[in-house]
Amino acid sequence: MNMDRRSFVAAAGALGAGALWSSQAGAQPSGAPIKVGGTLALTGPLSSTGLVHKLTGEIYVDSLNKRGGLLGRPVEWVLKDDQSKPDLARTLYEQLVTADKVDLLIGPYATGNILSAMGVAQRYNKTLVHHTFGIPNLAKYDQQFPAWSIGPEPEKTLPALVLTALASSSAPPKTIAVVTSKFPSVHFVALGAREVAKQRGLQEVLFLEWDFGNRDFGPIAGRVKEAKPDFIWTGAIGLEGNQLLDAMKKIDYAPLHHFYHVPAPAPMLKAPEANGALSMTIFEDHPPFTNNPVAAEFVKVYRERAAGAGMPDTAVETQAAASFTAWQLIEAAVVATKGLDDKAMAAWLRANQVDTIQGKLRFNERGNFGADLSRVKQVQNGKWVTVWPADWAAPGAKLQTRGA
Amino acid sequence: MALPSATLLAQAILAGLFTGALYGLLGLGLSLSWGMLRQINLAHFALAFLGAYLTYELSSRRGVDPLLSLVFIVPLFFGLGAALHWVLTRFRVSPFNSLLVTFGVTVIIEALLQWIWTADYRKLESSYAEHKLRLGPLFLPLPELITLGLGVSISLAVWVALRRTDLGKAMRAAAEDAPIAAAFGVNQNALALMLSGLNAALAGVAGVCIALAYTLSPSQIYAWIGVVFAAVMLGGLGRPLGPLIAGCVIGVTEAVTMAVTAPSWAPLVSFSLLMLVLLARPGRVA
Amino acid sequence: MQRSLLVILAAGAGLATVPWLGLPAFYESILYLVLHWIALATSWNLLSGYSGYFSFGHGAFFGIGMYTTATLATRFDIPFLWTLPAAGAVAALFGALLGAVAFRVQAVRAELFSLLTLAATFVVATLILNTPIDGGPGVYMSAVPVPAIGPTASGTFYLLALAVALLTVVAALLVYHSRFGTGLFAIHDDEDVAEVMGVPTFRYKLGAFALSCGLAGVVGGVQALFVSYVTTGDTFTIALPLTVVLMAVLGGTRHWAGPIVGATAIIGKGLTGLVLIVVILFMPEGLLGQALKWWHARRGAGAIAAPAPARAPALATGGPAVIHVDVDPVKHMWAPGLVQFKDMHQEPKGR
Repeated sequence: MNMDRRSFVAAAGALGAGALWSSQAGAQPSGAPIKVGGTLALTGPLSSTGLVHKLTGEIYVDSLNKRGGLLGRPVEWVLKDDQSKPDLARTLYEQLVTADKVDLLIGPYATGNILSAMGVAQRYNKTLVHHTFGIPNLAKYDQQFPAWSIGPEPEKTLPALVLTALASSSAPPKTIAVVTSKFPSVHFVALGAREVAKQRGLQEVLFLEWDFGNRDFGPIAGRVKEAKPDFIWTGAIGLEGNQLLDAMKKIDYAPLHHFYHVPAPAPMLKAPEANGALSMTIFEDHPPFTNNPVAAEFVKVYRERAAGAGMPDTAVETQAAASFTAWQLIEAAVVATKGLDDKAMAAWLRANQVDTIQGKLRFNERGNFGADLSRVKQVQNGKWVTVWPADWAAPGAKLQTRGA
Repeated sequence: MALPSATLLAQAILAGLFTGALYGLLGLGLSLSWGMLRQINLAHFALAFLGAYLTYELSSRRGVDPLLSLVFIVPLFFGLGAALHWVLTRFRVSPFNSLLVTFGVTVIIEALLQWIWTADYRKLESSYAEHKLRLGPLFLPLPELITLGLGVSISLAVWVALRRTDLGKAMRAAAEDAPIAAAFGVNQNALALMLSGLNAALAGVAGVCIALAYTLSPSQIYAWIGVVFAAVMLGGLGRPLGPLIAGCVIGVTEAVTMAVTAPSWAPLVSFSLLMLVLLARPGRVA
Repeated sequence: MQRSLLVILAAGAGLATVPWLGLPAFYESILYLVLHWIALATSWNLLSGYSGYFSFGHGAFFGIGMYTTATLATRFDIPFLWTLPAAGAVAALFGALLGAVAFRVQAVRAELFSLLTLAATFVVATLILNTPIDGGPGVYMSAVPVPAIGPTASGTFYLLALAVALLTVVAALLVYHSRFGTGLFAIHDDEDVAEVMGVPTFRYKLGAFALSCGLAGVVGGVQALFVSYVTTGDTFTIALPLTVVLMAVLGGTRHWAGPIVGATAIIGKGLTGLVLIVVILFMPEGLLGQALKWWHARRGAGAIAAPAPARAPALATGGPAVIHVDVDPVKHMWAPGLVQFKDMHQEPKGR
């Protein structure tokens, strides 16, 4: 999808400027607070990412209240800890709706918990904006809206994007190895990658799946090395990418092109063997994304507060950006419909496009997904740098090929 | 199912041995506790991770060589283990109740780790990770070699100590039959404290090895419980070489499976094998 | 026993009215979780607490139940309620198969059984993950209609969990007071002696295991629709078997109601690690066991010979009993400082 970057920046700038410098700037919100309810994994295995979303939400709500709140009223975020458990998430969302009687909902972290929340939202006809849902064909409720815009068929569009990017490199790949975890949200996209690769005439030299939770990547690395692929598509989530890279380093193997679907961002930056690794992103902390004043302000505040909280990664990337976008969607829907009516908000979202720090989002395709706003980023000298498509690439950045 | 090359197979076997050695190192203290002291020390895993985090801290913040941190960790953990044992005997806790108490300790340690080091991933960057040995076409990375070396040497040392030294024999006697041993002048309380301290120190050593090779996060404590318990039970409780051999069996079968067929089948092969062995020769494996 | 049964059924009837009390739905979901864990802990205790054969595989059979329901409801369009007895039956069948093989082997005692059941969990999880039963993407159940038993969906789940919990608790109670139960406790205290005394150890262990697994399967079946998205990663964790063990041991494994106390205490989240430690150090028979001891001691009932200066925790009893202590010190000493009396002949009277 080729977005006209200049017009985006202009539009977003206008919106952002409008939001920042609105006539209501400085006006104190007053009246009964509007309560936005949600849960996050504040403890448990998903908590390191859960804390990114917590910080983002706090930053957004603070800034929203400084700008006059919503409909002139202050906004309060009622946040509970679902401990990374879907059954607890369900229970807590029911509490938020039926006991705490929140006005609006915002989604939790990760697909499983979002599904639980979606079920509750559906039962009470609440609109649910969520930020980290990975499996579009499971999104069946018509009043749910994804902030992470991966499009309705990421298994087709993401591999196509990546392979197109690679085709423009100095050493376009002819052979591909697809190795993936069986974690649901990366698995189906890896299977899609096999299809797309076949359609584009790449030869598949290896296909492997491992159990999420696998500790030993030695044999897998060995098999990759023996297959000698030009390009490795790794359906890796969390640390798996690092573990695979580490195992490959131990047998003196460095791949030519390698892509990791949703790695934990910070560890990839620290490992020297990860230099050149590709991944997908919707936002990175550099121009042209930060040409949007709203985004620029957000990344600055986030960096300060993350550093203050002792978080190892202080840069805004996909997770924080998706979260911020979710809040932007909620604000846009409330402002546009001048109220808190769930059905009206849902109808408006489905019929309109919203400017966010990722770009323009729309929700008119299957599962309320819309455009695929994924971009390709690469680890270059210890930083994540967007390299494709060209109009979203960091200034002067290109996809680098090892040894080229 | 493609037939792997000899190199791949050999490298996979090596990988399995390395992983198995860590299972063995982690399992040794657990096995001795369970077999000789009748205490199922779930906190063993948390202690190992505490050791790992301490190693990370000493190395990253103060530049202490990870292996050197053993000098600090071993005595510290010895003390922790003896203290834990003292509490468990003072209250005469039964074996399965010890599971509960040590789970409580695990929860506390996990909370402590999360509070000090947060839930984010911590990786120890050491010079050891850069080095590897080569044996023909095979690679032997240094951290893994250290783990294998420590695992084998410590298991053997404990085995020899229990069999040949007076102290070791006294411990075994006390474990089998305390009053009779006491009649021979064996002070089982002191010995038990010592053994407990040793087991915790072993956990600390395992922690150093984990820090050298793996990325740390507090929730990872639970990832090891299943397979290490399996290695401990398979190797026979209280047998010093048991966890190492059983760990290697599990590690190698999993690694070879991953080299030969779809890696996601690996746990099936190793654990089915385990079940078969248990049913065919339940008495002993190691 | 009749009194306990009446109390349970009365409590059940009372609790069944909750969905119609007009409380916010969230209370029903919280109570669902409590009942869910009560059912799991109690069903686990049926074999493991009573007979001493600690199973670390409860998660495997819970998972089998979850996937049976998920598969039947989504693949074969079978109405949800009908899948529940199927979930129980399939789990019980697998339990029986595993037990038939495991218990036949003479040397398979406590620790080996624990290992076998732990290994079984990995085997089942991997099989499900790698075959079309799941294959990776998980099973999504949102299209499966929730039966209208209660006024709302949460109410329905609450009632289902209540029904399963009642079923499990009544089963535990009935077994506790039957020859079957007495036999299981005899196996716990000394299996060889029990055999000599004529207890059909193989049949009893097999029966208890199958029952325990079947009940876990039904709990799983209900949970499948409650979470509506079933994945192997969330289902087959080490957390489940660990949690049920802890709940049962905390409450007291030698009493049918022990796991109920333990489950409620842990779910109540009132117990942090520190409190847990303190509780078990001072109450080795578990919360319920300790409470019953105090109660009986105060009433001065029964001839409870407090066994030995070193309390042998394995012999915590829940009621008045006469205990004869026959100690064979040479044969059965355990750890230094901790003395276990293995040759105990316990004749429970009038439980």
